[in-house]
Amino acid sequence: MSFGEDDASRLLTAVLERPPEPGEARAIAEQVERARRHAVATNLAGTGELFTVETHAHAATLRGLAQGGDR
Amino acid sequence: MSDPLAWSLGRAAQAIRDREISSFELTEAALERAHATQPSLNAFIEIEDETALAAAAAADEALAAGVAMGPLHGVPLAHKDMYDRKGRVTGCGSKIRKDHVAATTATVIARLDAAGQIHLGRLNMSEFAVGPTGFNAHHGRACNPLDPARITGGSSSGSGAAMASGSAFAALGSDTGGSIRIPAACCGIVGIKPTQGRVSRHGAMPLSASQDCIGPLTRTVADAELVLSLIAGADPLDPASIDAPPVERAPTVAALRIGVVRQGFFADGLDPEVAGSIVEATRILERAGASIIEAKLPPMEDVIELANLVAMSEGAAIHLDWLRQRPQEYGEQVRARLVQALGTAAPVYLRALQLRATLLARTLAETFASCDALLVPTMPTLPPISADVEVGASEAMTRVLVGLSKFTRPFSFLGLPALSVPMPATAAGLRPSAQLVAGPWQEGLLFTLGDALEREASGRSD
Repeated sequence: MSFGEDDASRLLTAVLERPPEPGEARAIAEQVERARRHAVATNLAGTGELFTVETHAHAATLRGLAQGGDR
Repeated sequence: MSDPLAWSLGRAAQAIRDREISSFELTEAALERAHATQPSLNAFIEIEDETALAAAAAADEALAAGVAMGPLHGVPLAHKDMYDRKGRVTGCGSKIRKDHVAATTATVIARLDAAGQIHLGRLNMSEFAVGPTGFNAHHGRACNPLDPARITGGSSSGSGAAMASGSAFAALGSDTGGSIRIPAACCGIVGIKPTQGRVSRHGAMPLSASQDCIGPLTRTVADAELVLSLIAGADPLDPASIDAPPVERAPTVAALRIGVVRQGFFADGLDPEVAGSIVEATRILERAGASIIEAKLPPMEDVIELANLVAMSEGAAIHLDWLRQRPQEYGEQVRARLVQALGTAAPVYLRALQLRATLLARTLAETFASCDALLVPTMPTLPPISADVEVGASEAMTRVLVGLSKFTRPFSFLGLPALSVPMPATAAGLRPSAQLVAGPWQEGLLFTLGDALEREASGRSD
């Protein structure tokens, strides 16, 4: 079941407490699909290692490299 | 004397120190150029004649009195309208913040003030730095000095136009997905997005906490290096800034390994003149002694989408109250792009942040284990005709806008430093742009490579 413009319109009205302006509902519906396709339905992380990856790990890596850590 | 407004930043600073020209004369000339080009280029939101000339006169007096000078003593600069200066308006290119008076001064501005800069004014930008075209519903678009019918690129649109037209000697931009590199590419100048955390963002308008970077647009690689050296460094006022090693050039291009992409992403569907310029850039670096290898890259289409997803989610969080209460005060496209982020669920956003770390580790292990820097185009095309990318909030919006930034956005997500360098002009006078990308904290290596490209592209003999 896909998330359509009517769903997006209801989401926007619930969150922003106003009806959609032109283009907004379509843009939201489109983003739901793009997010699913590229962030969820991918194998970018290989097999399951995201379980232990913290959301600030990127910055921690840069800090470590700045202090002379290995890549 | 050659036209002082064509000088590099370094040359201008030296000329003032040597009393070849006064700060007042240089500032007056820059202001005249700014006013003369404003009707056709719309690079400025505000030109500060009175305060600029007063500051320049004071700089000349200080020089005459032998007061210690910073490296930019008396040189006129202008910056994107998003950096706080205490007691002055920071409008963010918007209607909502058009009268906002700053209570503090941004760290980058304070550091350039300490170096002796003169402020010429506030430069045009995409509203709230959202958008790679440079269009602005409130202030009008800045026009490209190389061809006013074409976009300047954005979001640092006025920075690109002012630098290419000789109205300033350096301009700060900001880059969340390409907003320094794209205007640099469109306007035929140099721009660097530093490593994430290299430059403090205190007092700068936020869009994306994870990907916002501050850097300069300049006319030469050495100027970009000079400005970056002045603004870089950890800042207690920005906890996300990182205490990193200073920027140091590689001693030579020889022995560096350059990764190029001859098919697939970064190669397919390129404008022929852009493709030709990358081939030429590869030859230049090879002649200088670099070894050229085929780069292995992570799945870039996914990286672009993750970058956009994260940046717009963070932007929407910042703008949520105004999106609720003052939606009519946004331009249609900016509002639609920010609202679009409501389609990203919180767990998906957090997953994207987890993937960011994973993809950085993968890029360091797979890409930068076998090369020192990547050489790819900054944009897939020459700067488009404005009318061709005026998509508003239509169905084409995301495709067109993400398409313009497809070669810059991935490196924002990865947090890597990237330098855009103009290549020789096309028959139409446009400048295709080469993008050099290195591992974290390797900006110096980029300057070494960029300087080699610039030397041949400009016919410089040093």
